[in-house]
Order: sequence, then structure tokens, then C-alpha cells
Amino acid sequence: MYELVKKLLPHVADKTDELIYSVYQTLVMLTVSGLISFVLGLLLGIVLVVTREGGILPHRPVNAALGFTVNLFRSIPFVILLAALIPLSRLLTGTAIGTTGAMVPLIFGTVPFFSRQVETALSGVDHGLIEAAQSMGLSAPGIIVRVLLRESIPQLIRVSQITSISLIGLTAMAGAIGGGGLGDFAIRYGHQRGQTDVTYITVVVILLMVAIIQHLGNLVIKKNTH
Amino acid sequence: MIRLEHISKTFSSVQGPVKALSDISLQIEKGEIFGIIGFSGAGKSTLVRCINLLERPDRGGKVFIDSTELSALPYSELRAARLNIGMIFQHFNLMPSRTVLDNVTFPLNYRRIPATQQVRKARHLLELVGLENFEQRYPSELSGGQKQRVAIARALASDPKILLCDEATSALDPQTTREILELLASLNASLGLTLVVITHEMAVVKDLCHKVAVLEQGRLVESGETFEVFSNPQQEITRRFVSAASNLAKVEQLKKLRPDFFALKAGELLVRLSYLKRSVSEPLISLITSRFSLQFNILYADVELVGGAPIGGTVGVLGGQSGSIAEALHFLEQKNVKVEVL
Ligand SMILES: Nc1ncnc2c1ncn2[C@@H]1O[C@H](COP(=O)(O)OP(=O)(O)OP(=O)(O)O)[C@@H](O)[C@H]1O
Ligand SMILES: [Mg+2]
Repeated sequence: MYELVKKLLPHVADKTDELIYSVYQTLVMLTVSGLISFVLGLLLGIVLVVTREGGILPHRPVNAALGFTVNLFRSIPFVILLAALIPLSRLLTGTAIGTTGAMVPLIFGTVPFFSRQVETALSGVDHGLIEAAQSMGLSAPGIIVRVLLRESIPQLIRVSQITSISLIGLTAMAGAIGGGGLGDFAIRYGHQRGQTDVTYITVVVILLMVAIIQHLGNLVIKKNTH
Repeated sequence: MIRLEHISKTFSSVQGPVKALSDISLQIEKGEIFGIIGFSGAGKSTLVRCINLLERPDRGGKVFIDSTELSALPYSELRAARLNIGMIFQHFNLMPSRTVLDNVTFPLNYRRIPATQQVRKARHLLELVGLENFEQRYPSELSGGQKQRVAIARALASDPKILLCDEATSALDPQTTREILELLASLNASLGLTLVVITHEMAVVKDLCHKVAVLEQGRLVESGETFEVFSNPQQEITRRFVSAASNLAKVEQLKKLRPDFFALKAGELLVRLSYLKRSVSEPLISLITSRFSLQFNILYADVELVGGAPIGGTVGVLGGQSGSIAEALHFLEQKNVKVEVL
């Protein structure tokens, strides 16, 4: 077995430890920044939906300010965000390099995108359902949890899938500034030293991650669609 | 008791403001079944949505429930007040991600009621609307009429004192409509539930409603006891609604389609006699034919119950001396019979 691997993937075979460590780093970046982004994006998405005109807690200034900020961050290319956020990253995490240093730009790169996606998902909830809940005397938080979020679960999963897959892409890019992970691994060996088999193996691993995300998401969607 | 004072509602749209309601004031007594009729777009839904303030009336409009001014309450108290007002929506608005059972317990969920009690209550209501075998289905798996019945069960779950029904039976077949109407009527009778019923089915108004209001282009053009409105409609639009529901009115249609059907001889008149009083027991026709020596050839007659009282009349051909005919018609009018020569 080892012989076969050595023959097909000569450069990977002698750095399996490093490969495994890179996968681990990518997973850490993905889960930590993903979870934080999920919570923040969900919150901001909810605020965007409920504060807009005709929403359940309309508030024009908040809606306009948040919408503007989200658009602003969405229009900054991620590589620039990586560089621009170095001071903030140092301030918040104490470092601007490594997986920890990559967290802040990853979150800033993901949250605006995700909050817009959440906004779209929640807007898909029939206004009649919200009125029905209002007529039954539900409070605003009650409506958010029991109607808005609950009725858009499949849609929320779908946008989470899209966002986490694009987040994988961002973690690879963060690797370019010393963030570690699979991106870093592929650049250092596959690109800079011409060890193409390293590049291919990272592609395969990333494809696997995407497939797992898709599959798990689809399972949950299926369970929640009636 | 529900009291609306000077309710207007203006929507803003791209083409400018749309006046959906203009200065409507009305009072609905406790335990009353109050019908609202009007053509599509007349403002019926908007008016009913103003009662629980899903729609805020324009400035100056006030909504009172008993002695509380609902329109002046802060949001938290309005929420509490809404618990007593159930609503059945024109488009059902069931929660698609929840089963039938969960939809019915939904209004109870966030109150401090034990789960088993919620389920027991929901099951009882589902039985009442004939859906006991559907608890685990999802709304997408139901027919329109079944959805409507779930909506009715859900609206009743919180034991409301007032039930607002926006076309609550429009998706049902005649048999189910009858059952639902009987259910609503029995709830009204046994619990003193106040019902506000929007409908375009005159049969619903006739069978169910104590009082009725007619809306036309956002205005309240006529209202009163169902019997009064049906027996003696004042407005053109009301007449159209009433005649659409009455068999006696079909004579005009028949005359237009088959003029030969009413081949009148010289001196004969085609007349429609409708009773305006709550009593149709007097033998008026035999009385006039003998007293004025006329012939009355009855084409058809119709009697039905409106608001619990019989309403009806006769269509026929009246023949005899013209002087006696005029006297006879005058006599009938004095006896509170509406006479129309067609
Ligand atoms: N949110 C809204 N924005 C703008 N116009 C509205 C809105 N809701 C209702 N309208 C308008 O107000 C008028 C009354 O509407 P409403 O829904 O009360 O009619 P309706 O009598 O219930 O009709 P239907 O029998 O078709 O249900 C209509 O002209 C409608 O287009
Ligand atoms: Mg309507």
C-alpha cells in the first residue's frame, strides 16, 4: 500500500503528517470562523429583515446603516481585507499570522455575505404567516424564532452550505499570508516547488469537504421540507 | 362588543394613495353574528383587519373592544388583547413546517399550559372540525377545505371571545360549508362567541348572520338586521346582492332569456309579490282573488328563512278588470307586501 502511494504521489508520501496537520488547521479555521460567522451573520440578517419597512420592527436608520456597512465590506476583495485587517487582528487576537490571525479577516469576509443570504432566506417567509402569528399575540422575538427562523430552515441550510463552501475558499487564501492549512500547504509545495501531486491531493481533500457539507446539508433539508 | 369609530384606511401605492376605507363607524354587540358583504376590493378584509389592528386605521379612527380603546394601547397590551380575538384568514396562513396538530397548538405554545393539555385541546378541536385522522399531516398535504378547517380549529384554540372570519367557508363544498356554519352557530349560541363574518355567499348571510353590513368602495352603504336588509334593501348594490340570492329575482332573467314563456294576454300583468313583514301566514292571494274577482296564476313561489324569519313571495300572472287589479295591488301594498309589475 505504502509502495503504491509512494509511486503515485512521491512528494505527498513523505509529508503525510504535514498534510494531516494542514487538514486539521483548515478544519479549525473553518469551524471556528464558520460558527462565529454563522451566529453574527444570522443576527445581522435578522436585523436587516425585521427593521426594514413593513418588517415587524421597522427602523429606517438602523436598517440603512447596517445595509450600507454590509455592502461596504462585501465590495472589498478578500486579499485586500487580509492585509487591511492586520492591525485589528492583532488587537483582537494578539497575532496577525497563523490560523488564529486568519480568523478575523475570515469572519469579516464571511459575515456580510452570509447576512445578505440570511436576509434573502428570511424574506422568503410568507407575510401572511407573520400576520397570523401577530394576530395570535406573539411577541417580536416569538415571531422571529417560531415563524421567521423556523419556516426558513431549509433555505437557511442552503445558504449555510453555499457560505461554508465559499469559506473553504477563503481559508485557502488566508493560507497565503501564513495562515496555515491546505492552501498554505498547496502553495508551499505544489506551487513553489512544483510538486503537482501535492496540489492534486489538496484538491481531492477539499472536494471531499465540500461533498460532506453538501451531503449533510441536504439530509437536514430533506428532513425539514414538508 | 366591538365599536369602530370613523375608521378610514389609506394605502400608499406606486400610483399614489389608495383609499380602502372611508369613515366607517359601526357597532357589533357581544354574542352577535355580524356579516360583512361587498364586491371584491370593497375593503372587507381591510375593515376586519382593523378590528385586531393588523391594519392601523388612519389618524382619527378608533377601535374599541368593550370599553377598552384597542387603538390606544401600547404594543404589549395590544398583544394581550389579541389573545381574545381569533382570526381565520382568507388565505389560511397555516405554518407549513408544522403538522396539523402543531398548527392547532401553536397559539397555546407560549402560554403556560401543560403540553398534554394543549394536545388534548387540539385533538378535541380537530374532532369538532372533522379532521381527527389528520393530526400528523402537513398543510401541504391537505385540500383547501381541510386547510380551512385547520385554520378554524387553530383560531378557536385560544378560546377567543371574538372570532373574525375572512371568507371562512369559501373553499368548502356545500355540505362542509353547512357543517362549519352549524359549528360556528353552535359556538355562538353555547359560548356567546361574537362572530364577524366576511362572505360573498348570500346563503351564509341568510343562514347565519343576525346583522349584516354592506361595503361598497370602502364605504358602509347599508347595515342592519339581516331580515330587514334582505326584505327591504335600500341601496342598489344591496338589491343586487339580495336578488342574486333570491329565487324570486330569477324571473327577470327568465323573461330575458325566454320571453315566450310569459305569453301575457291583454289585460294581464306579470307581478312579483314579496313579503316585507315577518309574517307570511295570511292567505292574501286567495283573499284578493275572491274579493276583487281576479285570477292569479302562480308561476312559482318561494319561502326561506333569513335571520330566523321567513322571507319570500310569489311570482304570477294577474288577470281581471284593470280597475280591480289596481285596487288589489293597492290593497296588497297596505298589507306590507311589496308589489312589482314586471
Ligand atoms: N397592503 C395594501 N397596499 C395597497 N393597497 C391595498 C393593500 N391592501 C388592500 N389594498 C387595496 O384596498 C382595497 C380593499 O382591499 P381588501 O382586501 O380589503 O378587499 P376585499 O373586500 O377583502 O376584497 P376580496 O373580496 O377580493 O377579498 C383594494 O382596492 C386593494 O387593492
Ligand atoms: Mg378579502
